Amino acid sequence: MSTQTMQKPSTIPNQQLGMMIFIATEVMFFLALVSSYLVIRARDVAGWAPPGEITLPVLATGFNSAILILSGLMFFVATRYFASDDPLLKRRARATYFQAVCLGTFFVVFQGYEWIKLVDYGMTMASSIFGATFFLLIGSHGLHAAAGVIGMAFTYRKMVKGTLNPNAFKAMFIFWAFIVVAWPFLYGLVYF
Amino acid sequence: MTSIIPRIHLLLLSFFWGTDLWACAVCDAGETSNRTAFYFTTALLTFAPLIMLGGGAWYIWRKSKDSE
Repeated sequence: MSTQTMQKPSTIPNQQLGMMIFIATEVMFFLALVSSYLVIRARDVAGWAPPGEITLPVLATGFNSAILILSGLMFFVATRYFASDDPLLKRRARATYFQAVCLGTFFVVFQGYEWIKLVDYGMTMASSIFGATFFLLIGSHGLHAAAGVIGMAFTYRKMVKGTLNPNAFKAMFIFWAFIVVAWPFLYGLVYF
Repeated sequence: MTSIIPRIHLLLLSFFWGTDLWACAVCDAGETSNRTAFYFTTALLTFAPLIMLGGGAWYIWRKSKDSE
């Protein structure tokens, strides 16, 4: 007698569920940093500003924010194309995803360049409480963005080879969407 | 051996002697804005995980209902 069992398909694929749980912990991590930032900022009665004559590059970072958002949109379009059965759309997915990876890399590199400039002007983690909270909060996001870009590059390589699992691709998208969505909040909080 | 009852009475009485402490581990500036930020962030960190858990459970429930 056959002992075959009918296996019900999972409601959410493991890769995506795992990534969602990970993102939940990441949200708490960033909320803890934001909380400490808000309390420290509210304590500073003398005026919350960078040390010396330094001003934060609000416009340049605004432009960089637009690049990051565009990268997120490209990634979203790529997931749609990749889910399609049409070979033409599959090819488009590769090109679109490549652009998303390039835009994400641009964001990280531009952000790194800005920090180098700020450090050159004398704003470091040790120079003031403003510098410490700035680099901790924005630096944490930058580190996540850099990790995301590396992950995206690996995923792109798998896509080119034709060995990319669609669920892994969606999990990568969830991570990048978190990076993109978190950034405008952090930008508004720290730069203004 | 002394009875424990007077000690309990003393402990209960001490609750009426106390005044508000406004305890806040990070409010060393004594500013209202500082305390407000502390309350706000405490509420944020309390409710955020509950909202995420609730949202996650609701999402899984909805997905499983759709797949039936």
